[in-house]
Amino acid sequence: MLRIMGAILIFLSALPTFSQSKSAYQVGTIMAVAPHKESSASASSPTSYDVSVKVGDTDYVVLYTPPFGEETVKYAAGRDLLVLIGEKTVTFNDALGNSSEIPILSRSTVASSVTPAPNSATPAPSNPVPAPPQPQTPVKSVELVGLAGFKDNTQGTLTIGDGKLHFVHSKKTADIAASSVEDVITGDESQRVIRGTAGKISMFGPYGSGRFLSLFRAKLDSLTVQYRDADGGLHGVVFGVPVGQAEPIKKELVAEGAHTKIPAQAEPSTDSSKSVAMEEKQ
Amino acid sequence: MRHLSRSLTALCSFTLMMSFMAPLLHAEGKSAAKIKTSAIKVEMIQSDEIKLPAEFQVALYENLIQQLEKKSGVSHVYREGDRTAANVADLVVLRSTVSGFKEGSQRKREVTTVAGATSITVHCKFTDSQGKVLVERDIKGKVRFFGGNLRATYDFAKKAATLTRDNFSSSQGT
Repeated sequence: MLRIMGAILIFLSALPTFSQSKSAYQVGTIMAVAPHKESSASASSPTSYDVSVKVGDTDYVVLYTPPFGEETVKYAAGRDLLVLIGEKTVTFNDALGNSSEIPILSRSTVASSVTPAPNSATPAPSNPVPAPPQPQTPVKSVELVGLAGFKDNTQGTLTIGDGKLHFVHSKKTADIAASSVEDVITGDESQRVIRGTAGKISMFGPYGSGRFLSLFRAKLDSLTVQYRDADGGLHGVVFGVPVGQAEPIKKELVAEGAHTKIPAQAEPSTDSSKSVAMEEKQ
Repeated sequence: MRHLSRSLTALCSFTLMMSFMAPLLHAEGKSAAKIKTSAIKVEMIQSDEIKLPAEFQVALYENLIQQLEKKSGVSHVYREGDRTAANVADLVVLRSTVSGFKEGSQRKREVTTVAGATSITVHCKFTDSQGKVLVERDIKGKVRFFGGNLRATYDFAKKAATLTRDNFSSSQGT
């Protein structure tokens, strides 16, 4: 009797291992974020976004509607997160630990070496040779330092055209002739989404919540431009652009006549961004 | 007794007079030691031995120019390569070389407040147009609590402008 009881107990204790669900959380990378077509057509500020998440060799385009109409998701390209892939939905936990389930719009198989292309609505193609990332000018950017007539950390848009680099903030514009550019260097610089005065005040949130809030950051690539004015004076400007956009802007600027000491292809910008991103996560 | 009272009054008067006069005399002595110049030319920051990210190099240079224009008291600040600076007789040239750099982490700073500080040490050399060294000093830029890593360049620039103000005065309008 005792032996039978023992056998039953062993069987019962082993049962949960067989009944465990095969589904498990996996690491996914946000490849691109674009306003959802229907919502972007109906309102000036989109409420939903098509987010392309790469998990393994599969690219899932999911429909994400941020709570409270937040727009921080626009800058999330390049970020890693844990996701649980279902048949029709993807489940993920936000930074506060709340679980959210969002619908999958489409899924496609991609080559494993595809580089993240932020703010691109098109999901990665299924052919093995990926197209180089194209900048979607105007690119939202931050003038970190150096541009005459603008305060440091001014947000604006960056466009390249007519042989010039244009930075526009509200009604003010600054132009840099591509031919006067001596060097263009991409790099990386992380910056908080919650920043400025609000960011500083949030540091002093109760029970350490301020410090927790400072963990929410968007990664920015930096684009450093050195150019000469009419008198030959050397100027430098540092722009912060969304991850993956610095390299295409640089290529476009070089194509317009700008000079560079480091050729665009030889520069390991994406790798360095990733390594810094990894360091920040640790 | 009367003699003692007179002596005390004289001593008090002298002490009172000195307390008013001392700062004036000190300031006069300081201004006398300053080198007069009408313009300063800032060369691009060099970092031959230290591997410095390009954005830091440019931020150091641009912040330095901004702060010199604001706080140094020198009438004109020229940039590297500016041809119009060649006509200035008493031009001072500022050459800066990065001698130490430690890139911290903004996140670590904000989460721990004790780790993740960024610091830059820059050797600043002020010379006249003939290359004679006028002032030479190491300046450290730091960012400890909040702000991006590039803020260390702003801290350096402020200190460099203060050093310039303490050692140079404008030869124009005095």
